[in-house]
Amino acid sequence: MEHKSYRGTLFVTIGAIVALLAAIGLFIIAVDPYQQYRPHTDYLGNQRMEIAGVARHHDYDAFISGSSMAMNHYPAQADSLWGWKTKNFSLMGATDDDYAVILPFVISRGKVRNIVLGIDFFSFARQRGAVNPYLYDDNLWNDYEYLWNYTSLKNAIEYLRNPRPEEGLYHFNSPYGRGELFDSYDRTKDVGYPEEIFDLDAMKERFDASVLKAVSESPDSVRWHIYFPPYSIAEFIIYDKYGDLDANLALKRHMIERLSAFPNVDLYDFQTSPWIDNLDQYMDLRHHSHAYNRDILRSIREGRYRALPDGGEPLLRSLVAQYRDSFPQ
Amino acid sequence: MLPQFEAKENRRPRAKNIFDGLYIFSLGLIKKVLIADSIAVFANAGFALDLDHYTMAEAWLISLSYTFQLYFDFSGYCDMAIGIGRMFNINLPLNFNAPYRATNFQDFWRRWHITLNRFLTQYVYIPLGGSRRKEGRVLLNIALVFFISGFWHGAGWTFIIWGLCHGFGVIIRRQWHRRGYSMPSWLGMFVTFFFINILWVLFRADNLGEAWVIIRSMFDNHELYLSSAYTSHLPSIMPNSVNMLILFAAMIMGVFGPTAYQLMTREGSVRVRQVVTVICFVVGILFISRVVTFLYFNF
Repeated sequence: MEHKSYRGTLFVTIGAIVALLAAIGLFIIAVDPYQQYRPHTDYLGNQRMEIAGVARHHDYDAFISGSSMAMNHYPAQADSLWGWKTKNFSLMGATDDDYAVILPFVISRGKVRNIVLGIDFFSFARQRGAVNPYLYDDNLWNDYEYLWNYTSLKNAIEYLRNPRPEEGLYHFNSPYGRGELFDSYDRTKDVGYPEEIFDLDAMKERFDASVLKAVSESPDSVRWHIYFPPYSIAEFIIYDKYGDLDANLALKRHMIERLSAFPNVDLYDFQTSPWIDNLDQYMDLRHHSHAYNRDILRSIREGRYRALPDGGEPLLRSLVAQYRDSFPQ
Repeated sequence: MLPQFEAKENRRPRAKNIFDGLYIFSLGLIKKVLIADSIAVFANAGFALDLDHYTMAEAWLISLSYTFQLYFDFSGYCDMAIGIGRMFNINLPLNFNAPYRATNFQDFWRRWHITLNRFLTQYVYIPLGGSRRKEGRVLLNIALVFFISGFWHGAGWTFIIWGLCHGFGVIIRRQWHRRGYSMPSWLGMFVTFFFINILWVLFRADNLGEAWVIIRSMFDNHELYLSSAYTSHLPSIMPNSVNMLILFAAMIMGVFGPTAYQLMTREGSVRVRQVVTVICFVVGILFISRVVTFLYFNF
């Protein structure tokens, strides 16, 4: 074919590319699996992708957040205890980078008056990218990453096939019990947490730049109910075995000291509760049963297990010493 | 190269060149964002873990995935560059010519990063005397060229040792050839690929210790499973079974398939090229937004 006769071929090719991309983009806009453009009554079930859209378009005045430790909370319970309209914006594997994006974004929507936030040591010990930033801004020009994206297309089809109701959204129901806890301990005791680096100075910096910054910049009208989740005592034994217990407890004291300076922050410490050595209530070293999720919200409502300046360190160290022999080293 | 930029006839857009350029660009895009980035997950997980021991299956999976990730990533970028050049009536030099079909180390370096090889030959090897010196000096020249090649890739012992090992491979090949020995092509291809694959571990590892653990694990045990420590580090962007299929297809294509450049220059159905271009371009666009480590960040 001569060059001139290729013109038609070229135009058809480029036309087909443009048409196909336009069709895909329009499909994503129409389905909108991440609720970026309008609210849906049901959900995709992928927190990382849909928190921004739900925060943008839904009606709420409170939210629960944290890592997977907070995913099993029941917003309906919070509504019943406080009379709120609550959403769960927890994120599996949440890191400081995620909090630095999510917390200010949700607060900036101007709807929230109460926040329940579970904070974990490991959130400040991991290197991981933040949630997709193009979902958390008001810039339509970067929505091309949403519209022309394999993951969006896959999720749009998944949303059409299997929309999830809000009831039990993001919950996981792994089996729990003494056997599960000891199995988890056996898997962890020889390797620890290789992808978590408990460098105290770095963790303090990450906390200050994320959660503390979000708290300090939030309006006085927003009340924070922040808690330290009740990991099992075995988790603290692992920290102690790998020399990370000192750093984590020092980080906790730092967080308590900084957060206590704010009059709109209430701090709770469930690591000093009698729950942590009930070995029958854990799915693994960290994740507890749903019963403890209910107990956490109820205790916050009742004002129990307020955090102490020392972060419960003497009690925790004594429990570690008491239970160390129960877990093979 | 320069005469092409100066030629007046190249300043007019030409539909055939734009079409051909778009075709090879699309193939390069798919090689990079779909193939390379999918199989990268196995290598990235392995190198990120930095364990004291890997199962044999893990060690081979990590090394093979990196071997093909690097090829499809690098050659994909080169194909995209060639495609863009062609759209502007510029013919850029070929940089990859089915390197994993090489039957010896010298052949490998005539097929892999051809422009670098050409540069080092012209500006280092030949000024040092090339092959026109006594044999001992020639061998030293070869070692020096590959030392520089290793250093060029990165100022670290892993790169330097990688380069020197390749130099050693070329030297072995030279001595083998000078003594009149021969080897069936298929065997040469297998042996060359075997050692190239092992040496890429050095190239990717952060340090010699990490490289040694993976290389040793390829041979020191018979554990043919993937441990939970490893699989828990695999991201879930696509199912691992799909990534495994892509790796397998990539291995077949990388060794036996035609290169993108061969596909572009070969006579073939325009309609087929049209369809391939449209599909590859659109799929490539959809896969661009995945978050993947930029390989060349370390260079």
